[in-house]
Amino acid sequence: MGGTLKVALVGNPNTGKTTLFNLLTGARERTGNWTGVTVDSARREMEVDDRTVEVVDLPGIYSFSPNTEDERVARDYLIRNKPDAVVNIVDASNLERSLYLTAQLLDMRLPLVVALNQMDVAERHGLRVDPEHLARHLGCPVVPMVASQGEGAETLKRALVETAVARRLPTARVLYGDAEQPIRRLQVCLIVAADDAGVDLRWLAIQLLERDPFARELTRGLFDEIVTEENARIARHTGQKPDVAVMDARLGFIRGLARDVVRRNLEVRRRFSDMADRVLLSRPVGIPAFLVVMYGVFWLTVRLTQPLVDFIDRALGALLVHGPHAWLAAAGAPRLVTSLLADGLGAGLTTVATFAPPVFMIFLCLSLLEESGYMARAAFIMDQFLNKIGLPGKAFIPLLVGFGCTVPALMATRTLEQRRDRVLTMLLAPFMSCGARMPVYTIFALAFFPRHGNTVVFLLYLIGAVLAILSGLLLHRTLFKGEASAFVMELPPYHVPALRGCFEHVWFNLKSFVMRAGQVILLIAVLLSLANGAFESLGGERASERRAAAGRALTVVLRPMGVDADNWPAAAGLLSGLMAKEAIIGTLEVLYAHVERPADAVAAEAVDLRGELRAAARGLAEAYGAAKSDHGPKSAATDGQQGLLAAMRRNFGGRIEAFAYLLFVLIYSPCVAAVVVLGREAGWRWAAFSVAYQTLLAWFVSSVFYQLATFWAAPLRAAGWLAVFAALATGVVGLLRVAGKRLAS
Amino acid sequence: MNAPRESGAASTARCLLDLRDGESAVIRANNDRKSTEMGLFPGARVEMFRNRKSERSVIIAADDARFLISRAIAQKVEIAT
Repeated sequence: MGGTLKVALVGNPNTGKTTLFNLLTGARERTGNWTGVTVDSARREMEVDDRTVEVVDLPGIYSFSPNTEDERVARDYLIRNKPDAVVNIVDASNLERSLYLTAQLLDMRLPLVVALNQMDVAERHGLRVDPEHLARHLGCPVVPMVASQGEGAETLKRALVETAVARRLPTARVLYGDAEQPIRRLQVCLIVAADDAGVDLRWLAIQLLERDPFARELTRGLFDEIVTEENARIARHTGQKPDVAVMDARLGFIRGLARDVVRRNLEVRRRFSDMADRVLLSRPVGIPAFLVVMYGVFWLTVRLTQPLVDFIDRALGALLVHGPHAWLAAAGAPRLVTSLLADGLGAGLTTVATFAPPVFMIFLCLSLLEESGYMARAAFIMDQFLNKIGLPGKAFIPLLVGFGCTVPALMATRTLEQRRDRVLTMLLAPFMSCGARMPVYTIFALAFFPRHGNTVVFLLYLIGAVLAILSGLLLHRTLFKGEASAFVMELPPYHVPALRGCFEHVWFNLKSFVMRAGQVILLIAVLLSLANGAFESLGGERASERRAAAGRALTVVLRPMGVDADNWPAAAGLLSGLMAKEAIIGTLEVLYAHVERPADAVAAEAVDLRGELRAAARGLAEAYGAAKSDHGPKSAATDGQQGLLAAMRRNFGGRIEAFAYLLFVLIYSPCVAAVVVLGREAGWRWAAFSVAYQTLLAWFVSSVFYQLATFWAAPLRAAGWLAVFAALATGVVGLLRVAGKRLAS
Repeated sequence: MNAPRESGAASTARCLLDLRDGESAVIRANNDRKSTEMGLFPGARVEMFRNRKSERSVIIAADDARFLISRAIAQKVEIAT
């Protein structure tokens, strides 16, 4: 028993579980938790008296009855991994409620330690909780704590190591009244099955009586007959459904326990949050306040960070791309090396750095909304609207997280009970324009809409949301018929967000985002520049002709949306955007550099590094100065010094083409990471559907836009295309209807 | 435990939705599993905070917690006032 001890943290959402995890392990970071979703169970090691203890932070849940994915994940972990001890975080200020999970843990017969957290809050609310009394009743250690202030941590560490080393089981059991006899009779039949499955015998019997599908799966349905018989007996004796009888007995146990250890005031106390809700959720204030908050998020993310993005782009562009180009050329480095280091590595790093500010800001906003308690209120405000597309208000939270990154958004759907709701939400989440698409918009806005950049970017966000609604309506009427499911959600009290916690959360999210996207971008940038360099050094003109011809073939399907054959790097950009959306810019940068400026020409350019940096800093200062006087994203980078912006203007031709391209970027297939998660969470068929549906819709929307916008330039061609689009749209809707009918039958 | 707490309870079961803003009651029986597990036990004291016919959900307080509950679920929560 000298090895690492495994300990799992289990508790309700909002009981300070993650705070306790950080306190125990000294971790400074959180997993991407949104509203009780631990995306991946966080694990970390700690040392207690020379023992290594691995602590696993399981998702915050209310029970082990597998209503949601979270509950399933937590329960499966405990059953399959059998930790040496479980720490059950119980909220002393809401004891009765927290004990439901404790009662289920007692049934599971795992070594248990109860961390009685938020003792200070309980005291403030006039509740007197007696930990020793509770420990006697439960037959396991109970440690009173104030995790937010570090109180009780050492005692808890010692208690959990002692319990884990001895694998000491709690002595208390929940007694199930009229169901006790059937439980015992079932136990006799289950001895071998429980042993085979490696679970507690009594737990298995109780679960089978409660008709738990997981328990049935463990016993391969072999005991269905006996279970039905025993259930019929319970029903006869109690006049209740067996699962209700079992639950009532459990509730009786909890009530008895709470009555003994807690002295409470029966009145519901009004809090500041209740007053705030009266105003913030009222009809005249609710929706306007919601819109103001959403616009605030947008303003902070797009408007405030734009000059910084621009600065980073210029400064790093000079330092990592133009500088090395000139230095390497002067040093007589081979063309391939220059291309790899400057256009590949340098440009790739610059791109990664430019999207850090908006992504940081969007995660910060989401974190503030979550921590302040407003996120749950937004779900209430949106309930009416989402209901129209057959979704519960709770589905708004994953959709909102989608503005940060689609991957955590997909994971956040785990809190939805119904699979139908989960899948529909997962299909709509990618329409929320994620942080990775922002750098693409920003660069295009700088190049084509220097005066109205903000409006264009805001418009794109809005179009994404509108398309999500329209797609929701379409899917609700075809593949996902039926009412939005009913839901219960806790409204946490409003509180001032703990800034440190928020920043830690954001930092962790940003880091994993940058790492994940950064690797893809760097890889693509390096591969592309290597391929380009190789082409140039090997084959001269014929090779580059061939390369351009391959690229041109890509543009054939993009013609109706205004991408010219000569602008083939735009098509290549979309392909690399499948890996990560922000890679589009990196690809354009590399390909335009090679197409437009042969390496010699680039090398010959004189680089005034200091001047460039000074100009970038001046631009930054001016932009933030100008931000006050509201001049829009006036930026020094629009001077045309940036080769990329100029190349984009030349290649795209005009604003209409650029906007059509942006529409495509907004809507088309989610990136590979998102598709993989979608496949894992919803099934590969839905992942394939999402890729096909979004890409087709992207092509449709941007082509319709382009043809309408250029209608008068070539009315006949536009009319022809529009007829094709109309026929195609009718066909797709018809197909979805037929598929919906099949699914229903 | 699903039996009425008091023998004098109203013969027709009243549900959460019958409470108007500001009214409070004790839960007599809860026929929805999820909300029971989240803390709306029989015996818990609840107060209606917001009940508008035009809205799909209601807001209630149960002891120290506040919940957003769809009307379809609130209907399954029987109360004794």
